[in-house]
Amino acid sequence: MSILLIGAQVGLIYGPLALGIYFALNILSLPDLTLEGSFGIGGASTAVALVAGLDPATALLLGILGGAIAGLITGLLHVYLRMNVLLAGILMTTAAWSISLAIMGAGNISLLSQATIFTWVEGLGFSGQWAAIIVGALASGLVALVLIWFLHTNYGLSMRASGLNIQTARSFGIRTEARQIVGLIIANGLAAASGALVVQSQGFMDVSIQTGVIVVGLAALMIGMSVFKTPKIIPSILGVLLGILVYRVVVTIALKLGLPPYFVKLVTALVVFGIIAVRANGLGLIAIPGTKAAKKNARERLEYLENDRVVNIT
Amino acid sequence: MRVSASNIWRMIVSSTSPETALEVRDCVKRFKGFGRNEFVIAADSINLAITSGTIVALVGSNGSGKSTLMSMIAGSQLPDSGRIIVAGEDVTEQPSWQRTGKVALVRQNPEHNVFSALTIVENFALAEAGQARRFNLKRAAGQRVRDLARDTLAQFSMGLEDRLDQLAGTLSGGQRQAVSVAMATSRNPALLLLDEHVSALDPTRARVVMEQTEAIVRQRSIATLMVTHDMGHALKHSDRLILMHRGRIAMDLSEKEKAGMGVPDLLARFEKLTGETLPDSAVLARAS
Ligand SMILES: Nc1ncnc2c1ncn2[C@@H]1O[C@H](COP(=O)(O)OP(=O)(O)O)[C@@H](O)[C@H]1O
Ligand SMILES: [Mg+2]
Repeated sequence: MSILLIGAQVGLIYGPLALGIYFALNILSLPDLTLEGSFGIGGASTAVALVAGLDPATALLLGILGGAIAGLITGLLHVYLRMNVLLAGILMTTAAWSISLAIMGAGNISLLSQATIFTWVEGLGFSGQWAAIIVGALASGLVALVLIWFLHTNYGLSMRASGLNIQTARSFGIRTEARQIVGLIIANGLAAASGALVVQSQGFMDVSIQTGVIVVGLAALMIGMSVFKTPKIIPSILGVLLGILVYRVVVTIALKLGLPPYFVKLVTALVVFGIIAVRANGLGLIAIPGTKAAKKNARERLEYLENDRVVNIT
Repeated sequence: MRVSASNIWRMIVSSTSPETALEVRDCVKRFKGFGRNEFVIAADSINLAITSGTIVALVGSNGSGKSTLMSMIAGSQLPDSGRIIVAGEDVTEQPSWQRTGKVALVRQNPEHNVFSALTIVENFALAEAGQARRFNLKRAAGQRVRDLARDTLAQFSMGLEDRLDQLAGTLSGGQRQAVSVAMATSRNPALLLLDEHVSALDPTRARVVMEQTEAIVRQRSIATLMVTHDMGHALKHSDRLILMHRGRIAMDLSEKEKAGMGVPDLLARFEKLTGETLPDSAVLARAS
């Protein structure tokens, strides 16, 4: 039980990030790494806003705005400079490190004396742990509901279409480049929301919080997509939120078992590897050579290799 | 079946003064070959005008430039030079997404015509919103779109109207092509382009989809340019037959000129004109 609570406490505030990654990767089919930088920019903006004396909600909104601008720039790089999104995202994330430092004006900012959304909720009579769970659940739930609504509107549907097949979408009258830019703004705004929440929750901002954070969302996405294998929106979004909880519980258990904290990122990577391996290979991965399952797996691997394509991003 | 005001208007107009649905003027399209200064001329100064409400068959060997011509009209490829005018409007500079209200293209591969990961009714909602380019924040796939989808799909008698909430990916190729034609024609385009839209289907299904396509197009009086490898169909079910060869229009037969012509006559004429043989799906089917 306490493991579940710790998982929810630490995990749920990463819900918007995971949904942002879902939005970029699954809805738009854009492998946007800017999300990682936006997480940092969101944290930096919210920290500076809090220090400047703004209230926590406004500080959160400013954080989201920072991420949204980063997404906008990536979208413009993609559409107007005709730059591959993967490449644009790598460059943007590198730049975001400096931008975060420039926003902060220092390597880290302590928020111990500032009110945050979490201290607000604690003021209502909740413990620190429950405040974190409530804020995380509200943020994730709200984002999930809005996304579910949005993706079933005409505009949202046109965004899904743009991520499925650009040529077909355009022949349906959809200006796909506009959808990509708007989509990247949304996805990065969500990543920044998580960054801002994490900073408010831990009470300090350090520029290194962005490093590798995309893998956390990726882990949630992979777990979620393995639970419900469907292109439908509602189960996918619920799956991603479930994924973030499962992932955090796994990490919590690993830490409880005595794993040193610096191994958390290794565990994260292993979780993602494991899920992808199981998803792609099923039980064929551990099948005894010569059995039916092993042969099926071998045939599927051959099919994968035959259909493999190179992607030139330059 | 619903008859919209614009449809009636088009019928009246086309019965009194034949207006032009499509005009292609001196369109040239070159593709870069592998050599340094090597070019493939896919469209070599094409001129073509199509009257509203007529069905024009387009035939020609593989690589003769039929798909390139279709893509240039739909806007997914831009001509190197020349103009494209649809229903009196010069669309040459318009991106494909701006032409959707005027031109509808159904391609050979069903994957390129419908979104498999969306439901049938969601596909219709997109087609509906795209027609007016009104992608707003209202719920897609509402009752109006459902009714429209049900009515248009019922015309194909394939039971598709009862499967509105299934993913389009669960449909067979023929069913997806039927959905594509239903979506394309429900938009009442000034011009419908069919690029071998039944050639990936087995002969029976191909005939069902083809016949129903023609029935809808005739009923709504939509100007249609259709690429086919079925010479018999091209001769019998069109108002005019155009033959392309090496990026040029090599033969243009009016209704009168092709009347009484059989497939062998057509193939012989093509051979005499170009010195090459023309692949006919019926001949190919018999040979295999
Ligand atoms: N995207 C492209 N790049 C290079 N060459 C192309 C491209 N599209 C078509 N071609 C060439 O243009 C010519 C006409 O092709 P196409 O219009 O597809 O013919 P058809 O549809 O009549 O079979 C062919 O020689 C083809 O190889
Ligand atoms: Mg072709």
